[in-house]
Amino acid sequence: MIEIKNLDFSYRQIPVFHDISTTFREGCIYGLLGENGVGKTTLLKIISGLLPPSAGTCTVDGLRSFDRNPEMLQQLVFLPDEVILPDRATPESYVLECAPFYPRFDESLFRRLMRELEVDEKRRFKEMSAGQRKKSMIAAILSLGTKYVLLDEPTNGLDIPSKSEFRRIVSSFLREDVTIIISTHQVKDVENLIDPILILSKEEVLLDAGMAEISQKISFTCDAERDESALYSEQVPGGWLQVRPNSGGEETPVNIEALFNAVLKNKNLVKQLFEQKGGNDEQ
Amino acid sequence: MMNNSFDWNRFGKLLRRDFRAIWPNFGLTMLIICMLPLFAWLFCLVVVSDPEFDIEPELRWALFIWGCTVFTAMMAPSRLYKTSNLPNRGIHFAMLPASKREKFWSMIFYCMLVCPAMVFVGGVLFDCLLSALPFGPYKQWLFETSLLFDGKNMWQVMSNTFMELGMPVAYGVFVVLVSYMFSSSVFFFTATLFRKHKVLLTLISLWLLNFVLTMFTMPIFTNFIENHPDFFDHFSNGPVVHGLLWGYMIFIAAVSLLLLWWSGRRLRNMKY
Repeated sequence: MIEIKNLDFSYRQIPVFHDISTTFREGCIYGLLGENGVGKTTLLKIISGLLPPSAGTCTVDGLRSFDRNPEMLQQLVFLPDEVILPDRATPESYVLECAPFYPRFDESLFRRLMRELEVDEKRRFKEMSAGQRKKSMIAAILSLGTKYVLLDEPTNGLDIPSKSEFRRIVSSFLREDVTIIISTHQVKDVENLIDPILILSKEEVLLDAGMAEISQKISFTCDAERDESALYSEQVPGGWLQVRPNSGGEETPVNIEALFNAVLKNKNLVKQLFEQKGGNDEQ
Repeated sequence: MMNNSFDWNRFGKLLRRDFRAIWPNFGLTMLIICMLPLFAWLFCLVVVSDPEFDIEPELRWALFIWGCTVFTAMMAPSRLYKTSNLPNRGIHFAMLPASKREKFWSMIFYCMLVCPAMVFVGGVLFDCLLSALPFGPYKQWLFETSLLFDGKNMWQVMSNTFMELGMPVAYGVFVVLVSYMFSSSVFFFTATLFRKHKVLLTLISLWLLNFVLTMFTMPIFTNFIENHPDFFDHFSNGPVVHGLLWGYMIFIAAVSLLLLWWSGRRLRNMKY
């Protein structure tokens, strides 16, 4: 389990997080959403042990992440948005170089994923497009067999078929003991994949809830007329997509993009709405 | 229970991984360093008309073999681990499941021992190859007037120099080891400090440091000597000069160890 307690973080004088606490449990694919610059990548880096918290703690299975203990590192992989790889290396050489350090590495899984993503594992990275490099890395890190997989903007640079393939691979990869955290702007790419959702805003966590809880508390409807009292309204073909507190109790499918906009427009209201039950701890 | 500090099995895996990275990252450079004496050889072959001209083995040992070895130790950290302190490119290094201590010792092992040793051996073999040619300025084998077998070799010259000062031969060994450790540890440290052009920036920094120190100390020293013209007369072969010589080298050794410790600390606390 990844546990963040009263975490503060700032880049020199610029505060990024203030006193945030959350927990990432096994068996879930977390969606980490937020506007540009709110600290999504920073949070992933803190969890990975690449950045130290200014205050508070971040632990992975009880181990302080910034210690970068081998015990933690062999259970956690992080795929950054910008993948910089040695030009001369191939996906195969890269993964076989890392493999001895990961006890649950599965070479056959790596080769199967490379086939499914249609990338040649013997081709040099420098001869690949950014999307192919990304796909190679997704295949590589999933085959390492770690408990925690942190993906920063994994669908950036992927073509449309690859995005569907990515969703299929990630959802099939999920097991009881695995936690996947996906940070993204492209919410459409991960719709129906992520659950729970964590929305970050300036220095705080605005929403930390599972899909079931979200649909219990918020309704997403398409109406003919605009409702001025809605948390968020957006004109769509055929009417208005509206986000409201779910007063009737009828659960509707969650539209993540609309939810994200609604949360950003009504920060305090949404926080109050979800604080009544205490976020995804109550799932 | 896993040992998160140091595990020989994991360290072995790391050494194997780092060894495989030597050739793609540093192999060509090491090869070029081994062949640097070729320029001197060619220069002498073309320019010097005297067919008896000989670049003596003493000079080749001191300048070519040892010089190239030290040069390799200076270059190695910036070539082998050039991304280890870079925010994005260093993530792969930082996330590799080995402890910070194991990574540090692997770096030391390859930068200060293995790569310089490879160049040393390569340099000797290359020198032998040139000596085998029936022409050129290498008239003697490197081992003909060797460090170990001849009465007037470099070792003897060095130890004679120290013996004139009343210093034991061990001091000579100490000087060589400490000088090597100091030059390599400076570049090892700066490889964790600078993000780009590590060797060039190190040389510029050393030059600036030297310039600043000279600017400050020279007037004080000159003034002192002017006021105490007989100062050095007190030091002829006495215990004071011995103490100063040992003290100086111990100081240099301590600075080298401090730089290595500081490098390890920087790597431990590196943010990416």
